[in-house]
Amino acid sequence: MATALPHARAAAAFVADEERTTWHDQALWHVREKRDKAAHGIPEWEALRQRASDIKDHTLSRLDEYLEQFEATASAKGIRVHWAADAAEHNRIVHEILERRGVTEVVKSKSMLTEECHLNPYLEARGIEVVDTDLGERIIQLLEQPPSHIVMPAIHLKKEEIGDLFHDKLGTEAGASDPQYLTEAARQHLRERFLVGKAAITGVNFAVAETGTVTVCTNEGNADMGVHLAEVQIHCMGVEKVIPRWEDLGVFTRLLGRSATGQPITIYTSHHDAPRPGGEMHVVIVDNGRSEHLGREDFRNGLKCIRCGACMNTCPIYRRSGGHSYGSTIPGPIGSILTPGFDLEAHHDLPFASTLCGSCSDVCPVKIDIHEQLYKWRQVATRSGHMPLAKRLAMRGGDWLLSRRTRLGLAGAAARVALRLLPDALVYSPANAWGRARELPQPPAETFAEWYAANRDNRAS
Amino acid sequence: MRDVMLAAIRRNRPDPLPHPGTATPRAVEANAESRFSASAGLSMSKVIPLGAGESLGEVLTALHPDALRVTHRLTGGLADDLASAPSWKNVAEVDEHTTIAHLAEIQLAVLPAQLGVIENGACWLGERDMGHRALPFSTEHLVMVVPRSQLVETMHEAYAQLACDGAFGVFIAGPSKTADIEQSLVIGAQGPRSLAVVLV
Repeated sequence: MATALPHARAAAAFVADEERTTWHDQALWHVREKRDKAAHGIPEWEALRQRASDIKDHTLSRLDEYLEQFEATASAKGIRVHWAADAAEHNRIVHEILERRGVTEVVKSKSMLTEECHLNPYLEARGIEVVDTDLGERIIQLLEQPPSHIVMPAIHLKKEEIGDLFHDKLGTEAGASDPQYLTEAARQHLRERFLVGKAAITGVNFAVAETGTVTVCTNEGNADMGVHLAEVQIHCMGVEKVIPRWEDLGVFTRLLGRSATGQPITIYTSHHDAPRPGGEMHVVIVDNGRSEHLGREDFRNGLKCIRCGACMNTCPIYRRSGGHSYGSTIPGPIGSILTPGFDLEAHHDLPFASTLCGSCSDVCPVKIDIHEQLYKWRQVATRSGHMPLAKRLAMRGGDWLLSRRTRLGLAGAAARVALRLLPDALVYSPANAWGRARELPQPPAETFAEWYAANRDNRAS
Repeated sequence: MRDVMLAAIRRNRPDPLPHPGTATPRAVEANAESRFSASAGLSMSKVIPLGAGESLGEVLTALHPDALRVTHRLTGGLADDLASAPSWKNVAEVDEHTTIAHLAEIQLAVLPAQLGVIENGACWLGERDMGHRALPFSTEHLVMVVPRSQLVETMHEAYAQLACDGAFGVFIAGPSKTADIEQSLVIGAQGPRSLAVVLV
């Protein structure tokens, strides 16, 4: 296993607990099923996906213009727009805004971008406490774990574990694990933090260039509870979150909830157009490798992502290895085509965490060619020399073996004899990685080639 | 940083591709009210059509019989209707100057919504409809009042009718919810514990 890729190693640890793996698998597949039901309820679903894909393709081809337009329309209404080239600059900008107002505690609703930039530890090191207010995010924050899914961050946890955590941190009853009871405890605990009302940070689902609107979608209402009570509101977005027109929101709001959780729409779809009376509203636009990714012809489509998580819910590898196995802020199929772009050396293993089944591409609301990109990234990863020696040798050996019929024929014959004659203990030895969880097939009496040679003159007339 | 970022994007962007254009709007089809109700029900929202001659005040009192700290922003005939209901004698005023402490006390808010979307049961509240932006979220229970004539089929038609009016607006489809604890649905996560939509 020392030669296995990082994801494979982490996944092996995850699947060692077979019962838990099955539970995780079923929980996520259930979300896929809900997505299907919602999607099938719209006869024009495929046309809607195409429309969304076209809008995103168009947007990327004029991304700079739309960002400039957004800045102009937003600024005209009193929204302060900031530009951050990388994570460090993003963190510095957010910190400066908060420091200027003497903020010591800030509430934050879900933002994978702030997770990517590691904003929380940056602020905490400078004396600003960050309270993540999405229930799943708060749970993993208290556990000091990263999220394992971009929409359902605590999907990998059982309610008993959350009950123990809340008993420890929130003073709930020992042993209590009823989700209703625990959520009520979290509601009271978080409400206190909202009522402080100093500063709030959110992510951005869509930033409309035409109108300078920041759109944020939640089910809990936590983003709004934070923002509308605070003196300072900050919305953080990657450059790819901009969309051209107000009317385009119609397309994306129809797709997002259905793709993510099977809901016809998120409970709250908020449109922040201007600061509230007497308040400050900031938008931080972040690059952090995205403009470079835009230049990668084979991979730029990954920037179309609207962060619904549908690819994760359907992926057999994600379902059976969990988000933490990926070691990246965004896990799953979309993470595996975006993250290698930002750091190939650290994440060259991710494109291999796949069977290339293509299910991800089928469910992607903006038609990203995820499975095709996974295949292309494998070639990039291999050519840049990141493959472990054992795998390189195995691939070269396989290439040699398969490139001549006679070699393949001999190898096949030898294998069939071995399967027939060798005892199981030898066939399923530790060296046989393929046989670790699979039964090898029974060797046939004759190969097709042998049968054909014997029967070629017996064609039916 | 802005100029460096924009220059990099300009350098790396692909060749121009066209915008697909505006989606064709759909007229409202048959059984709008019952379909809207069905959609709203999926998000645990309760839809109450107000019949001719029925009193809004009576409907709301039946919905929330316990004495609550209430507020509303209805006008005209509906406001008069409410004024005559006993449980609506003591109405809190909420606007952008209302303090957090007072907002936190509100238990029931009844707000006028501009339109309802049949495909998902969501209604749109503009800033003027809410008084204070936090109210639709901080109140324990929310009721939205929507004119029947303002039901539209999908989000396409909704956005076509709404203007971004330089403030704040929100589509609300149901009471606040979460399924973050082992995928068990819990209603009343951080925002309102219940939502009712009255069709007038």
